[in-house]
Amino acid sequence: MWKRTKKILAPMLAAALLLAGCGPSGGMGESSQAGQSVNQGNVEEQDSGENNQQAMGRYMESDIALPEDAETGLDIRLTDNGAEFISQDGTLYHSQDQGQTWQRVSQVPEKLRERLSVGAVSYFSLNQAGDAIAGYIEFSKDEEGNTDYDSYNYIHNLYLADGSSVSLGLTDDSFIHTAVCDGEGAFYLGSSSRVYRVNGQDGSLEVLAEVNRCDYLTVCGKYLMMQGTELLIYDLEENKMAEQDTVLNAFLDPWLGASGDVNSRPYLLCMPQTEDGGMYVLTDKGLYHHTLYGSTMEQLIDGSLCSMSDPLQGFVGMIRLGDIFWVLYSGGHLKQYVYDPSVSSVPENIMRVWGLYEDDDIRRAVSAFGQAHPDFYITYEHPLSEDTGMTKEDAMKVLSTELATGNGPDVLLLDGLPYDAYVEKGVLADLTSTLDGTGERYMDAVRASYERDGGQYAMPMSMSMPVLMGDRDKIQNISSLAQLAELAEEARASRPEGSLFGFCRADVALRLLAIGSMGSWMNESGGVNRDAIQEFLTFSKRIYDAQLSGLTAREMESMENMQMYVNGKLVTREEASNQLSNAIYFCQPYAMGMLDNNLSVVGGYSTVAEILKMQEMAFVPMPGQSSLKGQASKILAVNEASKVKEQALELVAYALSSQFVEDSYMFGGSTNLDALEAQAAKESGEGFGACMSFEDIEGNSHMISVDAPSQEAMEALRQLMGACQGITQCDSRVYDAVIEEGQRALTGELSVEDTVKAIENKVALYLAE
Amino acid sequence: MERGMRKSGKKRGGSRGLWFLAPSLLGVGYLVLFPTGDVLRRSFVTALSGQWVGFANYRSVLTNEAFRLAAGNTLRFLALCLPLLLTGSLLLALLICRVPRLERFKALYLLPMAVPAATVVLVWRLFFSRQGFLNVWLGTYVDFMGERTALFILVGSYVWKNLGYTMVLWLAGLKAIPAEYTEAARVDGAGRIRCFFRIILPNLKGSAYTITVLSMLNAFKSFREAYLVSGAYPQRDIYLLQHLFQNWYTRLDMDKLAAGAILMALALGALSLLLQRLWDRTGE
Amino acid sequence: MRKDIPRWLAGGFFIVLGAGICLPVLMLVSGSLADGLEWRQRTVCYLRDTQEYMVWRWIPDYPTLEHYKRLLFFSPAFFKLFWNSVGMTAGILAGQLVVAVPAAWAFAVYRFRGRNVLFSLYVILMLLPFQVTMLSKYLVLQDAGLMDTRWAVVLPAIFSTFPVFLIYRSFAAVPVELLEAARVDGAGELQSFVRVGLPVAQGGVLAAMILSFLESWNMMEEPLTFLQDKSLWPLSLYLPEIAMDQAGYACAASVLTLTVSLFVFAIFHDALEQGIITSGLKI
Repeated sequence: MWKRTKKILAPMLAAALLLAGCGPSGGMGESSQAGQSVNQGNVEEQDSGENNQQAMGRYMESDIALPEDAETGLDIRLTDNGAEFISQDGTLYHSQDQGQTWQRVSQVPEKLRERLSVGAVSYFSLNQAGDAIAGYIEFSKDEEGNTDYDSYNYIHNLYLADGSSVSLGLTDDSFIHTAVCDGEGAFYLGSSSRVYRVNGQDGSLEVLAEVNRCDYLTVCGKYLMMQGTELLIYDLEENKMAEQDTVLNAFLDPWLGASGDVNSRPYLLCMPQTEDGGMYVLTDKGLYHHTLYGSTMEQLIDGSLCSMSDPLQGFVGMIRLGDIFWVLYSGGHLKQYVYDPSVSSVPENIMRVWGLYEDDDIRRAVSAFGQAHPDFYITYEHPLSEDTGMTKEDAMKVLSTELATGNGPDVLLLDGLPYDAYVEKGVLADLTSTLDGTGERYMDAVRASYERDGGQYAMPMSMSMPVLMGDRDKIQNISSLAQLAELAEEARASRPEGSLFGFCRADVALRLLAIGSMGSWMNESGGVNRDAIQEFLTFSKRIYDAQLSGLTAREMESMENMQMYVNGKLVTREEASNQLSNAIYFCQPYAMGMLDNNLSVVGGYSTVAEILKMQEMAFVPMPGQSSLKGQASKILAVNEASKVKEQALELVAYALSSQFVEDSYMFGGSTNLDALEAQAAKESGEGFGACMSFEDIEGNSHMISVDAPSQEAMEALRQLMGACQGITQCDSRVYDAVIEEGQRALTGELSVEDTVKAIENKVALYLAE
Repeated sequence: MERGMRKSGKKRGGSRGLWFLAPSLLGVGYLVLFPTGDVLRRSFVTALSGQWVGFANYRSVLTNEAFRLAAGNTLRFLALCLPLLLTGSLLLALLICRVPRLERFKALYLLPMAVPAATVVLVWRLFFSRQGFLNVWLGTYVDFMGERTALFILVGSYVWKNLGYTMVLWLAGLKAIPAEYTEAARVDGAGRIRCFFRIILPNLKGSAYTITVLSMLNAFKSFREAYLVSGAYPQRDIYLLQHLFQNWYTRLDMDKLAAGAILMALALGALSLLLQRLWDRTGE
Repeated sequence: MRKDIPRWLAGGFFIVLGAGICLPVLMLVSGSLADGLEWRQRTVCYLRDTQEYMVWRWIPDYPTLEHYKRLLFFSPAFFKLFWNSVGMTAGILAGQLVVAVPAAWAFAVYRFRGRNVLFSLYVILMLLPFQVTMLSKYLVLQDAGLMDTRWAVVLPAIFSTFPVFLIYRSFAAVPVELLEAARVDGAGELQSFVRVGLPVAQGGVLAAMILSFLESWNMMEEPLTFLQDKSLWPLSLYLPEIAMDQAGYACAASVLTLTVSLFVFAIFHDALEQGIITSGLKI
């Protein structure tokens, strides 16, 4: 049997191997990882005369001023004698001198301009002839001219350059995501199910293709590129779908979101007017050149060396003016990239930033710091955010090896790493003088939490406070677990049905309750605080029982669906962040959660303030054994053995500075007091407003309009942050054991005493390691 | 049966043989032995600062509760899985000797050896997790990997993976026993069982040494599976020395790690010598 | 004399047990044909840790080759790593042939001073877990300037003592009469090794190589530690850590990895058989 199988198997495998050999061998886009094959400045071979080893030549980034009235842009494009820029309100500008001066060319009709300038248009495109196409929502007006927000129409219009406008002949009500025009000025629309060509005279639509989803359209020469879950190509000359470009598809796979995340990372396809069949692909990893249906993706600019890798900057448009590239970013920055043969293609100095997971703020700090230091090549490694067989311990082992051999990364993101072990072994640099020297004010309690033997070896960028939210009168004086348990039981007595808190599972209950108590589970000597855990479990059980006794099956189910899962696992932090906003959806009387950046239904503080206003609720520090301790994240440290320690310290100081933190993703909990106040001021400022509606579990619809928070609301939040007495430091092994074993106490499988014994048993051993 | 080697050895003495050994010796010396020596040095100094502390690391390791548990567990794991694998595979090999036509199905047993550890873990989860198939069959709702059963799952998975290969090794040993021996014994009226213990088993000693050492090596490889399925802190019974070593490593406790490793090497050395004395007399 | 167990029963037992042992492998094959959504549906209770049981269907509801397609056509990384693996494994095996085979011959045939101690040392070095010497090896490789090159993985593997240990046994099986005869015919040391030793131990060497192959093919910790440059990584590191909703993809990837091992098994099966016989041979 085996013999025969072998005969069949062998040729099959041989074929497979052959296939492997000549398969998509060229498309090695993914292989050019940052830091490795940085194939920069592919242009001509530099004569290696003056500098024999070092490869020379790199594209350097610089700013181009926008036209005076423009804040941001909707597009840039190339014309025969220069470049055109479309500002946020649809005004067209032209420049013939590489962006030094701009002339206003045309404007779109007044009504459209108004809507464009407040961003209330769902798609927009303007062609060379001055025709525009746009779609927006228009609310109806009643007899007295008041706006009726309950009834609205979707308007799809073609605005011709002569001032007239026609309605588009859209027959179904699918949502249009994107519009684009080609070199001849014809418009194309992409909806959630189709791609259309627009008749430039009467606005009638012709269906070009039925697609899964089309988020973005670009015109590359004679091809229309349709970007959805995959990249489809339409041949505009032949009027039919063209073959897919496998190399390009493979390259774009991480961006196209076939693996689930919808457009999680920005990218852009672009084609210069020259018809050499070449195109440019702009991603956060850099700028690539690709010949359609060719086999290579060639990197021209390394994204990690410029703004491209900055997660706050989306891509809006890109053009090539001769040898110069222009990129228009969503934040209103127009940057040019000019090839400079006199700088080395890769900066001579290398600085490594390392964290287990990728963090957008760190990424942004790295990107910004890199721009300010063109002689530094800064890499940001985050092994666990990538799709490999690496586990957390594997990553930590590699890190340990590097640290122990003096090859460690220069800047460390300590989230999830053992701070004390590293301090004890002397691998971290003392940050005290650096932080003192910045002249900025940091939260003293946070700094104190990281003090060891007179030195401070790490500093978090962000801190979140655990809070309990609920009826103002009832929660005001509650600070202990015992009181919380009483509150839960009372609430259940007066409200026999429905959810009180946002959990239905024992482990979630423990995770939520733990945020206010875990800080006291270990004693001074590093052992387990038995009594604290016993107390915690005893009251947790009462609260859990109170919650469960009134839950219906349907509530349990919908709660289950609201739970946050990250990589298939429940995560405390995310879960806790979600709780506060879930409270609104569920109309729960109480919620426990973390007051931090993820609390962004609309935006940080404002939302919290609004929730409180609407439901006459308040929040207090989460009752518990360590209720005034916050949780830190984005914890920065510097390797003591770093060869570029000075710059590494500088990077850390920069990332913690109010200048940087102010416009970061963190809404609530900067550890920098100056930044905190600046943010608060920003949010309570004018011009902030949003409206959201949702259905609660009973199917009633609610509407909240979120305005800037009031002074009192801001003051309350500031007080809460100011009350922070330090950072919770609970060994993850103790925490895991309490959550894991504690469930059994809550469900009644084991008595509280036995559970505590089990926890102690499990943990004592590991702590003895 | 013990003839040959030793006699020839007298004639083929010394230096000439070293030429054959030299390349390996050089490489092993530089890339394996030298680092191991470095580990030995590290076991007497502090973790990263490298100050001499004498036997302090050994003392702290030997009094370390986690180390004792892990060492005990490792020993127990070996004591459970080695006899199970060795006898099980020997029985299967004997079965093939009885029914030679079964040879062709041997391939079935060899397959698991090539399955990557990450996928083995997937199968574990499907079977032994709280929602797994074993619970379906038993009608229970137990996390078998979090209970005392974890050890047996680990042993089972080890046997599953290595049964085929070990069987083939035994088979080779069995086939090398000249048929005349067993036939002569049969003619003398020895029963099957008697024949096995008197003739076959003594003739397998040399193979037994190789197979045991090899199985031990593979047993240490089970760690990856145990680790992938339940992380750095698994159920108490499958907390092996390698778990502890890994945890020390990630927390930069290189001093303890070195001392622990040297202790482990000593134990392995003693074990291997013992086996050699017992079974591998060609090696004298 | 006691009556024996009937042959058919013994045979039946053997085949049934063998089939049982193959079951998980079949599950992988079947699992690789189910799409991500189906895996999710089947295992959602595990993912969420709810009080239900996972389901298994041998034939997926919507069988698909999607995972294979994605691997073979849309994952350039897969191929890159595949060829890395091939290259490294080939290098390791070739090196071991050159280094370990003569060493094993020396241990088996010559009596030199310290032979026993040295051999025991080889065995201990073989048994020590990798993580123990990882740091020291890193330092050595760094000194030699090999870090982050393929050699950092290949060289230590070439000088692994494992193949020496395994091949030793097959050389030990070379009948001494044969060697003596060769000597009488005037064969030198090298000639005895090539003409007498190798032919007899040929199979044993192959057997060791196949084991080495499996070892190198599934190697994880060494490349992880010594190779920072991901474009040098072997295929064994490609298998994503198995999150259940990626399970189908992971199954397909491991089926492909497995297939290569099978291929090697298939080609060398006879040799393996012969080889294991000689390597286990003892007279």
